[in-house]
Amino acid sequence: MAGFRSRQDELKALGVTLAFIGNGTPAMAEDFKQSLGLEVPVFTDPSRRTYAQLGFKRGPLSVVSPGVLASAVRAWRAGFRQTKTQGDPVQQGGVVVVRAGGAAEYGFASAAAGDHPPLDVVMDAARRAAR
Amino acid sequence: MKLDLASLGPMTVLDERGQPVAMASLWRERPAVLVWLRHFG
Repeated sequence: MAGFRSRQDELKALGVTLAFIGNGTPAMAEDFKQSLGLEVPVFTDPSRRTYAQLGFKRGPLSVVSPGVLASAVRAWRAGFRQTKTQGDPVQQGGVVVVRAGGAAEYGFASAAAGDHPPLDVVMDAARRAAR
Repeated sequence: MKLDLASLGPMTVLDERGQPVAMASLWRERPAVLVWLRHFG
């Protein structure tokens, strides 16, 4: 997800805010920002309430095939929410693109570690949101 | 997953100094790409 830093200049030129949200301490957020040389805000949600509100998965790692991923994305787009799973708590992340004023343009919930949306897909959504 | 920004907007996160920031302030005037991380580092 930190790969988004490579697009921070492009997003800035589009007038789109880029921000990261983690779930550690504020000091960890600052360290993350400094170590990656980020020029964008890094927030933290130690309560993980925003993760829960967005339905970002918190459950055991699983092997996920591309087909499962595609269906998960379709399901998400159709408004179906991933139900909370029991077991080893492994928090997943995701990406949300929002238009100015609060209309959702795009969303992606990671199904497993290493499952990220293609940067180009997110950038396309950012360009649409900036129109 | 659901995408209910009206409910997400009033929720707060903390900035690098520990100050609360409302999610909606991130998209009030400009579009935003928001990336939730599994963990820092």
